[in-house]
Amino acid sequence: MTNKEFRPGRSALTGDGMAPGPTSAVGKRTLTEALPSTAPKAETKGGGTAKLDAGLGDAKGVEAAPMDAGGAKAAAAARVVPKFVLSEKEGARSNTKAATTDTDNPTFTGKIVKDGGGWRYQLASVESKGTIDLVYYTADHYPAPTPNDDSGDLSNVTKDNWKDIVKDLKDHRTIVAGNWSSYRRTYLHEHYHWETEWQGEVKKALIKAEDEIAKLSSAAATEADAKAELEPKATKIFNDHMRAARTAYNALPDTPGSAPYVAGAAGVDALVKRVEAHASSQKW
Amino acid sequence: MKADVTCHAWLVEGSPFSFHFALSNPASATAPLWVPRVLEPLGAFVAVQILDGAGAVVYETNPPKFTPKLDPESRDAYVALDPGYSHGTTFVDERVALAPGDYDVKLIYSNLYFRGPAEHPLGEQRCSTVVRYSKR
Repeated sequence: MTNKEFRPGRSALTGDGMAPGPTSAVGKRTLTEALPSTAPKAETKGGGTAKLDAGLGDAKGVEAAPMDAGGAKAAAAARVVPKFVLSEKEGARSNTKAATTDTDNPTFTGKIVKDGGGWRYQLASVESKGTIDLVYYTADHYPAPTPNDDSGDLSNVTKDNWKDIVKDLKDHRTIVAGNWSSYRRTYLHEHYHWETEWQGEVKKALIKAEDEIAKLSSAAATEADAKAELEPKATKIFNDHMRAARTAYNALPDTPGSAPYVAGAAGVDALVKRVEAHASSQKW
Repeated sequence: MKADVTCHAWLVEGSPFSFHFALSNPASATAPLWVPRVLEPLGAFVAVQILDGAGAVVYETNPPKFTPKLDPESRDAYVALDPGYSHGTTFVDERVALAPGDYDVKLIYSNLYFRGPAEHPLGEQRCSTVVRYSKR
């Protein structure tokens, strides 16, 4: 098992993990650059340490809530950048068991900050863990059986079967694989869930949570009293919004033909080209 | 078409938390019942909710995203149960960490989008069962 940390928009980080708010010119540019579209971005080889941009799906979805309170302005000016931690493993090969993407409930740390004569609560860090279990078919289902990224020798491709392989891959391009498959389709499919769908929903919900939390205030005499007053409220707000993120994530379609399958089709297309080019070079 | 499916579960002693879950076609049924052949991953077809003595949910599975290997439009993705027969598997959930006490473990089954091939539509299948669990 390997652990990878992905910090979308990391290049624009300022200070200790805080990024410019999306309402600022810098913030808008940062989000636009880091999260350009719904198109899957993980285009490197399976199991590698790919650059995994997290598409939010819809740039309009990351606009900040109206800044109608001092607290909300403060939140927008110092957004916490969520840390996404992925454990990716490769399970035993199986022709029946599914590849999966699991996501844990996000967690946060926070702090009390002085605000004029009172106190406010501010998120300091947010972390979301996930696990991808890549369960590939047995090697005889892949035109290039090793390594597990479609880049190896096309040792399962012959003069007699290459046309069948191409047809089968094309026929099952965005649905459940047929007799033949591509390693990359599985990798891209599961990473679409993690980067585009899960991270997208968490980020959208986090903006709402931050703005709402930033509106909390306390006139308590001490920081400890303010913490006792504000932290439970902040926790409830955070959990409610993360629950909403999960509900939205769960509702995203994952049936054959849906966006994750379409994301995986890029792997199929690349493999089809390889097989066709191989057949051509062999004058089959 | 609404199929009658019945859920059964047995907890497996020891750690990590494990249980055997089975779907059955009642002996009184008049026809075979089709159910998904692969019931994993946990949290997809079979969800877990653990409630404490006060009825509060202390643990529940989050539905994972999963990519089936068996096409839900294909007959191969299903098992046909004759009346009185069952089909199940053992699940292991390493995330469950409970304090000593008595709990109700609720297992909830849904066939999700596995609604059978065109020539054999299944409709929606749902059932649930509760198993008492004493953590020492």
